[in-house]
Amino acid sequence: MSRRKTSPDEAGDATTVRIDQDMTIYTAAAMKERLLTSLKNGSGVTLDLSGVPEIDTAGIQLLLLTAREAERTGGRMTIDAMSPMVGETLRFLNLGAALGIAGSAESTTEVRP
Amino acid sequence: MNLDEALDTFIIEARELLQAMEDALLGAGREGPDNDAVNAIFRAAHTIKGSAGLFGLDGIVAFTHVLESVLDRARGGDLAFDSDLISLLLACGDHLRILVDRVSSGDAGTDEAERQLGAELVAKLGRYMGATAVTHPAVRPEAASAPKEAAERPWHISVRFGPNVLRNGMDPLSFLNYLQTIGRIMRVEILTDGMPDVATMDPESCYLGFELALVTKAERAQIESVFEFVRDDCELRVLSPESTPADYADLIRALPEDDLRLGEILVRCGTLTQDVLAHALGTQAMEPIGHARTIGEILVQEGAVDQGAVDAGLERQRQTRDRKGQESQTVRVDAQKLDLLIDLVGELVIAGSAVGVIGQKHKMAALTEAVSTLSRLVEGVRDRALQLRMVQIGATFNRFKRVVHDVSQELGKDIELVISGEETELDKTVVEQIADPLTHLVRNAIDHGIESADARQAAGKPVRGTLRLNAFHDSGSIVIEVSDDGGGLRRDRILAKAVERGLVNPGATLSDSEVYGLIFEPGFSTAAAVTNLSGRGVGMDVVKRNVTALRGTIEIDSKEGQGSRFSVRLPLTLAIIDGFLVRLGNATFVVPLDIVDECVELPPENAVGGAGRDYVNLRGQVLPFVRLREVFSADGEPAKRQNIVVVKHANRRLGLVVDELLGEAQTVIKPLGRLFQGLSGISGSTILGDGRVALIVDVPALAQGVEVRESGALSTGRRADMATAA
Repeated sequence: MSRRKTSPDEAGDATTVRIDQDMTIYTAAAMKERLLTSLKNGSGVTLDLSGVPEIDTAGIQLLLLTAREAERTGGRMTIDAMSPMVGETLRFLNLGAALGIAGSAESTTEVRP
Repeated sequence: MNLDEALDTFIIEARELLQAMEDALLGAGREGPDNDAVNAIFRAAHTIKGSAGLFGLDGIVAFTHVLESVLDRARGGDLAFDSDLISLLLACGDHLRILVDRVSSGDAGTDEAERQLGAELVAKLGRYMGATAVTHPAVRPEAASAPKEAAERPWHISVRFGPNVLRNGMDPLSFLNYLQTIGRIMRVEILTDGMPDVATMDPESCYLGFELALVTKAERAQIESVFEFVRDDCELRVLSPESTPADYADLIRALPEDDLRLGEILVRCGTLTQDVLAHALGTQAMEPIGHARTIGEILVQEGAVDQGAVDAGLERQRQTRDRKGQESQTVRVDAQKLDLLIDLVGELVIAGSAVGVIGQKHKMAALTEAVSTLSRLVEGVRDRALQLRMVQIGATFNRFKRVVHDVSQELGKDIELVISGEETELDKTVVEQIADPLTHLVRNAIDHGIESADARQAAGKPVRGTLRLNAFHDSGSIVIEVSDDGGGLRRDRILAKAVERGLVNPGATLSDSEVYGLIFEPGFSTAAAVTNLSGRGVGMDVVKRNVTALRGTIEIDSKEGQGSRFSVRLPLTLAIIDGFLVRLGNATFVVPLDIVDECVELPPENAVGGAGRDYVNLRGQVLPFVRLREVFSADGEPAKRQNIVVVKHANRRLGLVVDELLGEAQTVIKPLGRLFQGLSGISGSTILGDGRVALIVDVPALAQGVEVRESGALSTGRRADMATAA
């Protein structure tokens, strides 16, 4: 079903995870495992969401959870690519900064007091 | 409400709305629809868009959005309703119907042709949009739905979804999308404070809160109605543009999140300015420290200050009451439930007559008397039960407005449809099956009946042709008339054609109705030109066959130069028929009485079957017959003197050989179980007064079998001839 490519970018740097399936309530349980596993080494994660056809509230919630967890463990979650659908949704919800989308004006720290 | 059920309701509602829209469009006179009609059309489009948004049916939302924008312009008087626009809107309605059908069949995708059609329609609609650009609602929504006179005002919406919304199949995002149909969302802030730590966070629960700044012309009730579906599963607070800083302070305090942070979010939403925020939080600071206000207190206070919320509540109650009022007038019942009831009533009729038989046999006066009272009541129940299945023919007639509109446009004829007797009732099953033949008659009348405008003018008739649909009850049957004021049937041409085709002997004298009856012969057409619609000679025979299948008849009345009238006469119900009982061995069979022509004795020389021996000479004519004993493998010895029941089907006569004739009986038709559905030669079953089951003979199927047999015999014969020749 889903292809998983987990490769260390540079030594000690964030892992890149590419997701190639819907991020919806139907995939939420497995998606949570997968996203949190990617944070295991404490250096954050870079997400490639260009292969995500569909995202709903459950998926967005998981992205927010991952971002928060990354920060808590001393890393950072960034999103470096998005499918048009995901991009449109996240822009609509003003989540650019909170989810570390490249090119967002505000930085993560400003959002979280 | 379960989501599937909600979706079903949406589909039913959408279909009804589309029908209402079409009716309103077609009801428009030449001056275009009146204000009420325009509003009805607009409301239909708007409601479909709204509900579709709730279910995340983006295709429908996008399409209706464009449609709605055009309608809004028309409603505002910026656009004239000309016949082009009406045709376009009708086409849009059709397209929407296809989209809705797709939803109902659970087919999410669209095929290429459909997408293209949709794009074409959108492009055409775009031409009516004038300066207003066509925008996708999810990107930049137009506040098209709000009443024109209201101005756009800023509202603030604060909503916390309950943990179960996702599991219940509701996606908060859909509500935000839907919200965009009534206004513009200026800013969304998502609050994640409710989300527990990683270990306990359930990915299928919803922990998010939303703060929204909305600019809309809509009022509170309309905004709140967006969240109607999750009403019980979310905490919703809507702050009106009139809200005071104190109201915001209340909101901030009522929400579970940290006050300062919320304040900041409200500022970022553009809902509050920094000054107002400081003021609002200032009042809070003045309260004694440590005075923890309970949620209850806050809610009471909120209820006290917020008149709008109270109004919204009242409005909702009123709507519920209205809806209840309508429900008491009509009840939607599954057609199958009605069929079951009719079945039971049928059995009751049978059981009642069985008791009557016993009473008579034992000559018990008291019992006989009681039974007669009982059977009167049972008959009443039967009639009422049958009436439950009766529907008015009006809905079917109204469909023809569309047919007439489309066909007359295609042919460039100006035709008015006059409908009368639409309140006449008939059985639902009959209504469903009569629509096709009627369509054919209507098309035929428009194409062949009504002449072109020039010809009408030359004949001194009004240029505008008239097509009439009428229905009325007449002694246990319903008569549906399709009449036109066109050229009428050309008796001489029909006769000439019939002679040419060898259907009639030259010089034969035929009555008018016999001549007109010829047009129902397969492949018969006198039309000089074959058009797209009719004239190929296929169709009228099908009409006749369909009507006959419903145990109905067609009569034609025509005056050359003045028009013609097709009268379709149908039985009121298909559930109970007059049957003719016959015996085969130990079993009883029922032949529908209407098709029984006569009964004759089977000549002794035909008593024994054999190839080529299944014909008798009936007054100089060859009558093929079927030995039902063989067809149904009846047991027991055949009767000494067998009988032939002569039946008529599709203008052919056919004999059915049976052991004994038992006479007439009211027959309650019961469909066969699934196991027996594939059985040929049997169309149903019934229960006799003595409790035994009798099968109803499927005469059309038997007739077909005989036809096959005959053509088979013919070709075998020919082969034999050829063999001899060689």
